[in-house]
Amino acid sequence: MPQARPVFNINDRFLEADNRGLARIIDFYRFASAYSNTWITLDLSRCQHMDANLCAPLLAVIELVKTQKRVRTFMEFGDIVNVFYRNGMMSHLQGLGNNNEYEDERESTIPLKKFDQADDEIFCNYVAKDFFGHRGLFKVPKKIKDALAEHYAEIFTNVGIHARTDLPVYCCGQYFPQKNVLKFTLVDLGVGFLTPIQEKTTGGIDNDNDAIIWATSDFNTTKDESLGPGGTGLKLLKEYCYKNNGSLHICSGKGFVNMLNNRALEFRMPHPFPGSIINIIIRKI
Amino acid sequence: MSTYRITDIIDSNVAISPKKGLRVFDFVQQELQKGNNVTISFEGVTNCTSAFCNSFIGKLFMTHSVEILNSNLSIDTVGNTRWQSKVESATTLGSNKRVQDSLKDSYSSLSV
Repeated sequence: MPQARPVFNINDRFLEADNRGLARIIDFYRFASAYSNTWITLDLSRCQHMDANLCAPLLAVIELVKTQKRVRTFMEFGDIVNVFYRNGMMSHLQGLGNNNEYEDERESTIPLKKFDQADDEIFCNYVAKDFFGHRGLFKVPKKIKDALAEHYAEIFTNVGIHARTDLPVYCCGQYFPQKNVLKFTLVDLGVGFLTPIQEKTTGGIDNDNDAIIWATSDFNTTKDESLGPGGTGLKLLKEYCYKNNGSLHICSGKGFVNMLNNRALEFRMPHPFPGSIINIIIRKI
Repeated sequence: MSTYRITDIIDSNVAISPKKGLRVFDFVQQELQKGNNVTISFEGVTNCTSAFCNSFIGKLFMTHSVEILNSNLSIDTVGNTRWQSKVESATTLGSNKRVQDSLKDSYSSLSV
């Protein structure tokens, strides 16, 4: 008799792109990476709502276990299948990559795409056209769009400098017109914040949350000096979020820091994420 | 003083990666070594990051004195206040780094 396929159930009815939502994705990654050379099922059929932004870390770990462990994921969907069609997740799962065949009739999702780190022009084009060219965002003033586009470019560039990986970067977003909230998520599968910062501070920083706070403070940087000075990208992004009723979530390793209203709220994830997630939330744009 | 556009030097209107910043740094270095005065213009640039500015301008200020660069290099940010602010920040970071490094060198020579 054929062996039953291992099943990972996500029983939450609502999955948001916060520390709890990310913890579920990390739980799934941990479950999947315990296997090799097999198919597993991710059962999302009980989930009624999932923030489209969570698709970036979810696709990242699905592809990571496929590459590292040859574990392929079969997904059971419930109501959230519509989100997966609209934001391009389904196209990725079907092996079509960035070519989303489906229309987002509500014009509220910013498509899920993955980029090589050298694709800076393609990334900027994605932000300008797929993101800010989005009909749902036509009311946002050009000045704000330009400023945000450059902040997104800052974090994209940051991955190439710090992540120490050639694996792709995953991005997606969602606009909530009624709440006037814009969310953007960027995920890399690199070494995370702690390793290079621990090296730079010769052990002075020894946990993930302190590393995240160090990287977003003052002009701290682990950048190779041959590339010139550094330490401004994440700091500028944090200050922009503070000034614009926004928040910046950074998850790396077991760390999760939510920066809002000039405060950093720290959470500890039960298990580490295999890289870094940066989630930018802008309110009242 | 000759004017050169960043877009021509990096062959792109996206000025975000430090690698492209280093291309502009190398270009300006060569011009300074020839004794030329140069203006670098942001005209045609659509995106610019602090990482780019730090590798280009910050590294120049790490390498040369403020006096040399102020008299031989001009940056035209085409009236874009965000880019102007990134240029100023890179200038400060680069020149501070240079001061820090020279202080470190003098301290280490004292301790020998």
